[in-house]
Amino acid sequence: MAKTGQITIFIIFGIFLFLILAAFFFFSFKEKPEPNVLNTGPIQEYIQSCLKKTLEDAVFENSRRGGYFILSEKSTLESTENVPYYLNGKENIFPTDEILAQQLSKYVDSLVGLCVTDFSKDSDYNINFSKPSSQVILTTQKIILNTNLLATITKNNQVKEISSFVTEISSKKMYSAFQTAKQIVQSQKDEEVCLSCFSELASQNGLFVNLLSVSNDTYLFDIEQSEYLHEGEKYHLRFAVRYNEKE
Amino acid sequence: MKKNKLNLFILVILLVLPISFAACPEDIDCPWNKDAPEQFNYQTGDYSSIDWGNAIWSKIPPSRIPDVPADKLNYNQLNVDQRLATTTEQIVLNLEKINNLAIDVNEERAREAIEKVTQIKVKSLGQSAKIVHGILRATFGEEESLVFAGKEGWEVEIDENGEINHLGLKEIQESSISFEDSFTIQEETAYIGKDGSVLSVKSLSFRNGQSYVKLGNTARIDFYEILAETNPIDIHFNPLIKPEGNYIAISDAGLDIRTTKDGTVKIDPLPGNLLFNMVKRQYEKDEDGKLIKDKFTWVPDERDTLSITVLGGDNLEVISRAEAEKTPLLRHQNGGGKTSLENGRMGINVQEGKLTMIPSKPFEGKAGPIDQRNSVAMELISNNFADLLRTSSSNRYLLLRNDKPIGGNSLGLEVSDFIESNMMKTMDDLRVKHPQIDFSIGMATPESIEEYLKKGYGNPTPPEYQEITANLAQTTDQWLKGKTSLNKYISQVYFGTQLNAGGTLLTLSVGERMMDGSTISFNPAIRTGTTPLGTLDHEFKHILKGYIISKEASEVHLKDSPEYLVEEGLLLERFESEEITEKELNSQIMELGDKHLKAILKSRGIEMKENTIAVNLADEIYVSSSEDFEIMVEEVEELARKAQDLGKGVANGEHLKSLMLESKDSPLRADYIQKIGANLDYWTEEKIEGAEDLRNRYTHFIREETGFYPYAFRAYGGNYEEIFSVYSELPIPEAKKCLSCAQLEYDLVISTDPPDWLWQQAEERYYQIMGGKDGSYCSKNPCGPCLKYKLTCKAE
Repeated sequence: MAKTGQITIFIIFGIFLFLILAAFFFFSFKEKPEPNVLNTGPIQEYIQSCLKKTLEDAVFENSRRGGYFILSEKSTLESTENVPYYLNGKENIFPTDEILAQQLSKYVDSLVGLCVTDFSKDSDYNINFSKPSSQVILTTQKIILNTNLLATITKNNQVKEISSFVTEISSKKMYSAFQTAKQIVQSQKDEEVCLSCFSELASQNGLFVNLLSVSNDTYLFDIEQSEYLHEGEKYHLRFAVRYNEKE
Repeated sequence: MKKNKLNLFILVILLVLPISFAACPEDIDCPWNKDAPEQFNYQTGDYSSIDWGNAIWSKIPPSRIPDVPADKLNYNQLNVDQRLATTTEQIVLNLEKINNLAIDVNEERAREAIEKVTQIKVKSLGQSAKIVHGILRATFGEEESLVFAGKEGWEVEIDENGEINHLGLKEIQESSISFEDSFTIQEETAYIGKDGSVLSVKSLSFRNGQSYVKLGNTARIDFYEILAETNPIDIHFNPLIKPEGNYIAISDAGLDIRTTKDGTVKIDPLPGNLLFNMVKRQYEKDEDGKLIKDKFTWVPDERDTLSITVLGGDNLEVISRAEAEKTPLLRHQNGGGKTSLENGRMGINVQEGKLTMIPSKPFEGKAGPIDQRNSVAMELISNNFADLLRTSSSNRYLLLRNDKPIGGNSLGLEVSDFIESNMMKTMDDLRVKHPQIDFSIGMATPESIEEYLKKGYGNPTPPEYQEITANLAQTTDQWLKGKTSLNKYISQVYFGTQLNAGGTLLTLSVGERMMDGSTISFNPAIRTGTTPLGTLDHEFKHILKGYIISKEASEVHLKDSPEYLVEEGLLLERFESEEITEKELNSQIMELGDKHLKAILKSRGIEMKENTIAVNLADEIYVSSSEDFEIMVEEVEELARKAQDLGKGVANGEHLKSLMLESKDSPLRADYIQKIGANLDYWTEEKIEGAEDLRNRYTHFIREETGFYPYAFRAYGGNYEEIFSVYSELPIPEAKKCLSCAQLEYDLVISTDPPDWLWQQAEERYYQIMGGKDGSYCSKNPCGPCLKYKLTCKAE
């Protein structure tokens, strides 16, 4: 009966081996529980959309002030919505691309806060924002916005920070209006406004140039682009030209 | 004996002969002796006996020259004095022998002689003139000449320059003018062409068969004034071949103006000119004094002004398009010169291939006289540029390329190339087209004029302002277009020159300055973006409100209210006892009605509509955006302190404290929104550091939250008067921010039981704001009229 005892040991050993192997495989492929990580994706997207919207607002609202968020020294004083002079007698003070870009970034830095802070109102995130610092690059095709905006996000005792954002929108339509304005300024001769000098540009870009004499030596230009809309409002580039020099 | 008789005979002969040959004593009239003409007493002798073939002309005293038969007078034999003594009849027969009709003979008689022969009256022969082969010639200065033939009845003079001027005759035939003629028609005369056409001309000259304007002259031809400032200008009438030089060709089809490299042509079309439609309608009236629409005559419109200067080789054609009912087309051709048009208050130039514009200047001040010049409607094209410039009769222009507008100054007002649209120019034109409404010069109340004068603005209806400009007529007409049954709301329109417009129940006041694009575009008294049509829409909303209030008063039987009647009675007593004037009585009754109406509405749970809206909107900012708003308010407070330290304080002398949100429960808390905005504007103007940034941010914030600019929350005596009107001006995306405003706006319009056009307009706007009848909002919420305002609103 020694043969029967030897078999039992092997059976027991085999069962034991099977259990070990089964256990091994089971624990190997079981899903490990995720550690508890803060998801900043929606916040990132929201901030990005705020920056984009604010940049679009900036284009429209700055253009109403001749490209300025904070008007230059040489601007009109008497209107409810003043504009910069692009020409003061013989002095051509048309804003450079750098100035336009700077003014766009000023706008964004000043106003993006009104948008981004809305996110945490409707969520259980707690977000603190630093003061933003933006840089705008303006080309004939695009406006590229680089913003450093430190967002410290807290939720369920987890904290995460995001800070750098890049957004871009097309600049073509805005640029075409400024190019037309440039042409107007360059072709101005004393009190005569050269209509045929800018008509080609205006026609190609779907612009309408309103020209009004607002005092004895100043013209107001309002370049309208009816097919460039933002929140239902048409794009306007407004500026003034003073053909008799004053200090 | 025979010899003595012979001697005696000889002696007698010798004695008598000398006697017979002796001169006739002066005191004796010796008879004419043809063999001894010298013996004739030319002083006193009988001239009828003279054989003039043998007369000694030198012996005839000048005083006796008139006795010489005219046909016997040998002019060439006469001396200076004798010539001066010649009679008219004698001169008649010797006209062409006289070297200088002005001094060789008696000038007056010379002129009489000419008239006898030619039937031409010559008023003066100048310094010297002669007649050669039937042509009168000045022989000094310009040496002009006049052919006598065909000029019977003319009256002319030779002036101090040797120029011949035609005077007097009211009609001249072109066929009577010949190649040798050189003269000027000085006074207004009818010039009858060979084709029978008749033109009125003045100061028009002729030479070598060509009519022209002399250098230095200003000629008038029909309704044109032509100024030859630097060179003579030829005038052609219906030329068959293209002329040369500096000229104007006038034809039925229009004008053709050409210049040489050194030449200038200046022509001013005048009021009454039909090519340029410088006319207005003068209507006939029926027996009740009412204007008859289709019975009128065209009369000159003295306000229409146009001046055209072409120089240096440029050409300009003016082509009538009246058959197509269109304004004239001006076709410019570049010749290296310049073409200028002074059109009403605008200036237009074409030079060096460029089209330039000097737009009309704004009217100064807030009232008083204005520049009432109208422009002339036309279109201008050139071989120099691809654009078309269109002007109206109302100082507006439009620049087009490929029929697409690309520039202008009209702020949404029509600039038409149709004559009819540009003939809307006067109050009578408006009266005839909109007979349900009364149009007149004036102000809604006499006190309004007093107010303007007291404030030093000037008179809004100055005495010289008797007619409205074409701009005001056309703007009013464009706004009234399609608005049938408008007299339900507006029965009277007053026009003045003020920088304002106003609307109260049934009355609209419109000022010229308020309808002029240049004047309102940059005026500190006017909100940026204001347009003439927008202003009228805005005032119409005030009128609608007035209508609604009157309906409410009627609905609540205000006049039957005991409390109201008591107070009204007290006022009447005070008036009768002369404690208050009539003006004070009317004003206080209005205030009384307003007060009681509000009280009654309140008692029924109906708040002042605008106040409710304004306060609700304010609450949205205070409550739902409180954090952002409070941060901004803190910044405002800090800025206000900074401003005070700099001595700038707050605007309008308000205390810093009152600017702050003292009480969020205050019924006027919405007004703080406006006050903050106003102070930020003030500090921005004063260049306080950080003010502009905060102002821009604040404005943006308020607009984002409510759709309104801060100024819209201004409270006038406890009422937010502007919200209703300003809301109606918001574009749809902004208007969507206040759906309750949209509902109220819709309800209020419908409550007036409006005509179809207004109902449709209100409904369309309402559903656009709400997102459509089947949109997400309306599918879940009640939509339609009379949901918010129910007092007098009756949905069909």
